[in-house]
Amino acid sequence: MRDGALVLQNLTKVYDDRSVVKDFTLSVSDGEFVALLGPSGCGKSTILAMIAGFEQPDAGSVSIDGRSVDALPPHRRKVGLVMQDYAVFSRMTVRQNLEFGLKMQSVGSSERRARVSELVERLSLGDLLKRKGDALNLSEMQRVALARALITRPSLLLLDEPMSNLDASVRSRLRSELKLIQREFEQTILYVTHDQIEAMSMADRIAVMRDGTIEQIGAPAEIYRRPRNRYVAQFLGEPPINLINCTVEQRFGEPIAHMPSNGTLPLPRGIIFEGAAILAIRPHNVRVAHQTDQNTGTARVADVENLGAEHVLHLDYGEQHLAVVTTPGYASVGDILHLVFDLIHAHLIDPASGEVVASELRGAPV
Amino acid sequence: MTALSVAGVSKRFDAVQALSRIDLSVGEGEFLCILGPTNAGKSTLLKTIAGLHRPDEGRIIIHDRDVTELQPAPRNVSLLFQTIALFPNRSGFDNIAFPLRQAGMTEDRVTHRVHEVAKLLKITHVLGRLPRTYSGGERQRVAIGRAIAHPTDILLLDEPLSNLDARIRLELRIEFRRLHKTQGQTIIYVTHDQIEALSLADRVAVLHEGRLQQVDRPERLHDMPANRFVAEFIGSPPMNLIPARLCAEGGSFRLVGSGFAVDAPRDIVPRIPGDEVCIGVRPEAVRLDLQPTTKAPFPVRIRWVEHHGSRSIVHADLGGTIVKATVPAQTSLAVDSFAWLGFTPRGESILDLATDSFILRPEGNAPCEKIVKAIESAPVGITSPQLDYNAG
Repeated sequence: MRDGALVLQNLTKVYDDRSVVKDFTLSVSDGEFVALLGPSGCGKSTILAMIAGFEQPDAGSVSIDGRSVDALPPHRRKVGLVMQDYAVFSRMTVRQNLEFGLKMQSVGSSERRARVSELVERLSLGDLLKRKGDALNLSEMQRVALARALITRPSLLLLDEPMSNLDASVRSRLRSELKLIQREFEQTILYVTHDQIEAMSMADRIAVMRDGTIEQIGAPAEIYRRPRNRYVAQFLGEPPINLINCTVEQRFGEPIAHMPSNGTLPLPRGIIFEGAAILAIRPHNVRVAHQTDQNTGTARVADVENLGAEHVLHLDYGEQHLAVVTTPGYASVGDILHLVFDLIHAHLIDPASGEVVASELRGAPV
Repeated sequence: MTALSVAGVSKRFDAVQALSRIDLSVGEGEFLCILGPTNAGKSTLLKTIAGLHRPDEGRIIIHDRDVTELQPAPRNVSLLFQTIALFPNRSGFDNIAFPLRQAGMTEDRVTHRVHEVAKLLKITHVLGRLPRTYSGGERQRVAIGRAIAHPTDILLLDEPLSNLDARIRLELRIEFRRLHKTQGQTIIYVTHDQIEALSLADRVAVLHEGRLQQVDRPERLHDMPANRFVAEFIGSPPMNLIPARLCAEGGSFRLVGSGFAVDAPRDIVPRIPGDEVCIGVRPEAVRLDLQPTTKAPFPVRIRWVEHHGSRSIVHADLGGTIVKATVPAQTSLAVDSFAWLGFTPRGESILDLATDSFILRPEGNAPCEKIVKAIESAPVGITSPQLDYNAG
């Protein structure tokens, strides 16, 4: 991968005295797939609009393929854009839709036909070519919109929540299609979404955003396994990570967490944190047992949620809520269960700052 | 007791047959989800129950009362749409209080009830504010509050969570379950999101192109889909359907496909009508190994490893068919490498290619016990929920 397919430097955008994008810096390599992941209103679509040239930044710069595009209008930035509503021309056939962008770029008719047939084969659009835009269903429209963006061979493809109108089963198929196309075309992609599954499954790197800035950026597995703070820990993973309020005591150099339900949990040596803390652990990393020799307290099953292949137990753990993923049929409402925490996948968070103070609590004594 | 019966309901809009002979019963206090893709007819069915559409044929019966000819109001149902309509110039309190005041409740009781609902939905802090100051999640909660404040016989919800961010959706999903438990109201909930349906509902009615495909408890929908549509719709990722042909080999029967051959489940063989079938295998039941073993004897090429955090989904190319397998997150399987795959076909997961239905469905479309009782005691003239999987 070559560096610098897209470089954003200190981008800032202010609307009505409110900064929606703050000093935003990001570099995307050639052929890389980067996802901007965040809730509505975190500034991710505004960043896309500034890259595409529909919005002017109040400060900072955008360069694509090593040259600044700040002074260029949208159509000269060599950027392809697919939005949530696709904007496929409804009165034109799919072929006309595909050729439209090329005509705008004054590409000759034989070259246009060659590019259409290349894409048609790779995206299996053959059956659709003669259909009008308004005769397409949503997933066909999505493929046509994608093809129309790819056909101009953009340096950078921007995708703004392209799947959010689609059914879950269609989304799952399109995720693998899009990833295969991206790999085959070695297409650089910046993908905006609030859906962590889309980001986790397709992106080479994820930038988790909040209030116009990046909270953490890294490979999906890295962010999932080693979140930097409470916000990132909560944003990734379903069901969401458990945040258990506890108190850490240093007992002659042996740190111990006082857990809900009068439980105690020995923590690995070397943790120097003391006082009120949050133990962050994913529902997949807590095991329940009808018996255990650990004294981590007991929890009562308040609800069992069926997710198909897995069940989520919602437990009353002292006064707190704890979610645990189990195989179907392990426990039912009212059962009292013991807990085993897989500390190697747990983190300790300082409740005052929200920062993770100890990650992946390795070497826990038995 | 049956809260609602939909009996033989059909509805046509111009050239589109939106609903075809829908038979469905909902028990008192039951949480039923209507699940299907876009344009399946879900909203049409809900609006027909609410009285916003008149069915071309069939009856709607609510609590033993035929309401087919009634206007929406006297049906005593409440309906919450996907797009939220709050009164913009009224506070959260007044929005939730609206149906209570309409019903002539005293102001004391209105106040009590609004606060009760607000506490349940965690929106006490927005009661004094106008809707334009709300976040998306708060708007939705206030709208839900208004829909549930005055308990009606049946609460109808049309994709109530689909415009919201994933995180808020998850939170509200858990709240809906709590709500249903504490209020015990009959709820019919339309969604295209299978996770929502599986996790919320007592039973799920799967609708596709205006026809009911299967009405069943969530775990049965997942383990025993009735036909190809349900199999490919339920599960994330859905069940693999691997094409195979039944062959006799030296006295035993084998299912042979591109790149594999496995023993045919004995009980199924005499019932396989033709030679062409699909073997249904859940991604969790597919075995993948780095070395060939007796449990994973077929070579595959790994096309893609999809990371989902706690687990990964491997797309393996088995003789040209992509088979998906769920594996632990820390997998050593890499894209474009070779691996070994295996699976054991179950008798109840053999799909007949001629009808696209699963061959063994001994219990058919079993309604839950309370429904059976309800139907037995229902007045004559109401048909029981039934489904003919092999019907055209």
